[in-house]
Amino acid sequence: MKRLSMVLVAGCLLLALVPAGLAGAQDGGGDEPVVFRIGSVNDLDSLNPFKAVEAPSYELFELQYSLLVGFSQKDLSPTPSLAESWETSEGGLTWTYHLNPEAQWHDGEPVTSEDVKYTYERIIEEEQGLFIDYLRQVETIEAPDPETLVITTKEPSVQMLSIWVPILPKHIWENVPEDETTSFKNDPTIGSGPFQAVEWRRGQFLRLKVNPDFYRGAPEVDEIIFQFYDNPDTMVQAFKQGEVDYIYGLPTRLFQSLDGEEGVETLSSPAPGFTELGMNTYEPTPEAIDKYGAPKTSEGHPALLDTRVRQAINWAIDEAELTDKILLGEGEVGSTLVPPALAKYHLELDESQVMGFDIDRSKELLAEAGYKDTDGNGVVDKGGEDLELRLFARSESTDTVDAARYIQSWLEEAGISVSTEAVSDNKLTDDIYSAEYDLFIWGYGSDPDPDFILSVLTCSQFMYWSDTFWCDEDYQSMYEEQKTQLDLDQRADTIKEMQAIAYQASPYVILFYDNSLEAYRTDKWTGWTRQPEGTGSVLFNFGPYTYENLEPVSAEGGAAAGGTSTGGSSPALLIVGVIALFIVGSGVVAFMRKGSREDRA
Amino acid sequence: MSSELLGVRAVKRQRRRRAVIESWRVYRRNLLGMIGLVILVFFVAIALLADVIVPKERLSVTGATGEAFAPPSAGYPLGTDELGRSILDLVIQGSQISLTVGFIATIISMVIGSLIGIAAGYFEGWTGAVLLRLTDWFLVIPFLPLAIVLASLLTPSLLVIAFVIGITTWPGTARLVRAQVLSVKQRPYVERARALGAGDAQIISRHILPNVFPLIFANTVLVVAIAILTETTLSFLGLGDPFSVSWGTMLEFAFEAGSISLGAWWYLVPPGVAIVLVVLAFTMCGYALDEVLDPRLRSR
Repeated sequence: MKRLSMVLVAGCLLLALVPAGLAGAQDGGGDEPVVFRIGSVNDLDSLNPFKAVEAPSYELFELQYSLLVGFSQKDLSPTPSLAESWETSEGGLTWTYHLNPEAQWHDGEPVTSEDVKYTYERIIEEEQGLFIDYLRQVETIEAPDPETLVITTKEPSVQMLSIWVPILPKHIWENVPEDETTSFKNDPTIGSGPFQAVEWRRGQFLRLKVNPDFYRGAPEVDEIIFQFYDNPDTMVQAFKQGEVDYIYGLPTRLFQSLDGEEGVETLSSPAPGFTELGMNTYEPTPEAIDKYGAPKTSEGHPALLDTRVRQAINWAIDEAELTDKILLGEGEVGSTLVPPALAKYHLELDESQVMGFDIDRSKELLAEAGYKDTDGNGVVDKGGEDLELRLFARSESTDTVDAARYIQSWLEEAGISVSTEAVSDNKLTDDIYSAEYDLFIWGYGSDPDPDFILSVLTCSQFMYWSDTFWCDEDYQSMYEEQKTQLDLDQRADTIKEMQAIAYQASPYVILFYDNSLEAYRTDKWTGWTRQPEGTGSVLFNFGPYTYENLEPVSAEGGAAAGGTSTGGSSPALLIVGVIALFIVGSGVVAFMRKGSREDRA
Repeated sequence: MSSELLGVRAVKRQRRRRAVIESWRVYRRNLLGMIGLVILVFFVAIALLADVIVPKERLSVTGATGEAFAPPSAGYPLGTDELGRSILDLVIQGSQISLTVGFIATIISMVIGSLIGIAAGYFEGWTGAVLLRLTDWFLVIPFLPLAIVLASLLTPSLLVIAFVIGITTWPGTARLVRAQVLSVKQRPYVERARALGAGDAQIISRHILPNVFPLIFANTVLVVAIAILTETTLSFLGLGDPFSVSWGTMLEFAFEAGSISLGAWWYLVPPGVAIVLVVLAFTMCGYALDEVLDPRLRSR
C-alpha cells in the first residue's frame, strides 16, 4: 500500500545537527502513565491521509482512524471495525453495513453513516489517487439512518470488504475546501481509533494518547511514542539500553546481531511486499497524454520497449544471490507480482518458466533484438550506438544501492553498459512521472487483498502508482475482470494468469520479497500479537491488535527500566569517538590558522 | 638590446631559483613540515598508483571473494566490508576520490577566492565595495548547512561535491587576499608603475599577483585539508555519490551497515585514520609554509 522506505532520509541527518532537546523528556505527571515506545528510522511524511505515503504515517492512521471493515488478526479476513455487521443482496450489487452505535470521534461527536458516506464520496468526487481504486466500482452511497450505510456497486465486486480507507469526521473535513484536500495539515487530528495523535515534531517524535472511550474498550497503554532516529545503529543501541520497546526496519545484519539478547524477541516475518527493478516502457500515445496527463515524450531508452531486451535483463539478474547477499536469507527470492504472503493469489512459477541467471541466454536475447557487440568494445550495439542504460537507486536505502552494484556488474557482463546514480525518493518520483529514466530500484507493500498490487501495472494507474508505464490490454481487462469475480478460486486463476503475463513481459524484475524485521522487549511487555496468526508481524500490519493487547510485565518492571542503563560503551564506539575528535580537532586547527592569518594581514 | 634583455631574464631566473632553494632550506628545518610532507607524498603516491595496486575489478561486488564482515586476516589485512570486499583495497581506491575531490574543490575555491580578493582589494569604489559585501555575505552564511542544501539539491557526483565545497570555502581566501592586495597596492613601485603608464591588467599581473601568490599558495594547502574534511562530512551524511568509493562514503556505509553495534572496528578505523593523517599532513605543511613565507613567524 505504501512505498517501502526503510532507511534514513538524509534530511533527518540534518536534524541530527540540531540538539534533540525535547525528545524523550515526555514522561510526566504524578500517576505514571503506561508509555509504550517505538523506535523508527523513518519519520511520518504527513498527518493527512490524502497526502501521506510513508509506512509510519500508515501505522498512525491504523491507530488514529477506523476502517469500515477491518482485517482479522487471525487470517486477515473481514472483521467488524466501525461496521459491526454487514450483508449483501442477492447478486452482490447492494451492500448494507450496520455501524457500531458506541463509536465516537475523539472530540466526543458520534460516528455516523453520514461520515462514511462523506469520506467515500469525497474520494470519488475528487478522484483522490491514493484511494480511488478501492472505490471505482461504487455507484451510489446512502445513509438512511445514522447506523446504516447502503452502497450499491456498478458490478458485483469482491472489494467491498477490503476497502483500506480511513473514515474521516465529516464535521471537520467539510470545512476543508477541495483545493486544500492534500495540503490540509490535519492537526489536531480527530479520528475514531484507539489512540489519538497529540504531538508530532518532525524528526524527533510522535506522541499518541489513548482514547478512553474507544468502542472496543480502551487499551492498557496510556501513551505511545514513536521515537525517530537518524541511524539504525543508534536506534539499536537505544533499544539495547531499554530506551525503546520496539524497533523495526533495521538492516539485516544488525537485526541478526540482536539474536540471543536477553529479554528481547527478534521476529522475521514474511511481509506482503517486494523490492523490484523497474523499467521505463513508456511509449507516448494520444490516449496516455490526454486521458492520464502522461508526458508528451519519453526520455527512456527505446531498447526497453522490446520485450526481449527486458527479458535479457531479467536473465542477467541473479535474484537468489541478491536475496542471499543483501537480505542474508531474511526474505524470499523474487519472482511474480503478488507476494507469497498472499498465498492464495501468489503465482508459483514452474522451473521451466523461471528466468533464472544465465548470461549466455541474456546475450542471445539481446542478439535476437538486434543488439550485438560489433565493434568489440564489450558493449552490445545497434545501428552504431552502444546500449547504455541509467540505473537509479534510492539514496535513502543502502539495500537498493547494494543491489544496484550487483545488477550493474551483471548487466555489464551481458554487454549492457550501466551508469548508476543514487537519487532521493522525491527526485525519483519526479523522474518517473516525467518518464526521464531507464531503470530504477524501489519497493512496494501490498494490501491483504491483491487488487492494489495488481493495479500498479495497469494503464489506468498512469501518473498515480504506475512507475513503468507498462500497459497491456489483456492484463488490463483481466484486472477489471478479477474485481468482479465473486468465486475466489476463479479470481485466483485470473490473478495468476495476470502475473504470468507480467512476468513474461518483465516491466518489473522482482528482486526479492523482503521480510519484515522486528525486535521487541518481552521482559517489559506481554501481549505481542502477530497478524496473521503465527506468520505475520506484530506491528506495522493491518490492524491495531498488538497495541490493544499490550500490557506491562509488572508495575515496577515497566517504570524502573529507564534508570538501569549499562553505561559500558563498546571499544569500537570509543575508537570512533577518538577519530571524530581528531577530525574535528584538525579541522579546528586548520580554521584557526586561517583565522590568525586574517587577523595579521 | 636583446642580449641585455636575456641577461635580465637570467638574473631574474637565478634570483627565483635562489629564493626557492632558500625557502626549501628553511622548510627543511621544520620538523612538523617534513613529517607532513612525507605523509603527503606517501598518500599522493598511493592515490596515483591506486589503479595499479588495486585493479578496479577487485571492487566489483559480484567478484567479491571474502566473507562479509570478516576481521583482519592474512588474506584481508584490514578485514572485509558488508559485501565481502577487502577494506584495504577500498581504502587505497578511496584515496583517489578523496584527494581528487579535495584538490578540485581547492582549485575552484582558490580561483574564485583569489579573483574576487584581488579585484575587491585593487578596485576602489563600487566594484570593490560590492565584491567585499558579497564576500562578507558568503562568509556569514553557516557553511555546513549551505553545503548540505546545495549537495542535496544537485545530483550527487564527484564534481558536484567538489563544486559545492569550492563555492562554500572561497570567502576566507578572498578576505585574506584582499587584505594583502590593499597593502601591496600602496607600495611605491606600484605607484611608479602607474606613473609610467601601466594599466590595471599590467599592474595586477606583474606587481600585485606575484606579491600575493605566496600567500595564496600557503592558504591553498590549508584549504585542501578543509576540502577533504568537508568531502568526508558530506559523504558521511549521505550526500556524496554512494557509487564511488571515497573515505567518506566508506565511513557512511560502515555506519549504515551497523559496524558499531557489530563491533566491526576494522571497517571504521582505516578510512578514519587515513583522513586524519592526510588532513594533519596538509595542516602541518601549511604551518611550515607559513613560517617560510613569513619571516616574522620563524622565531617561534
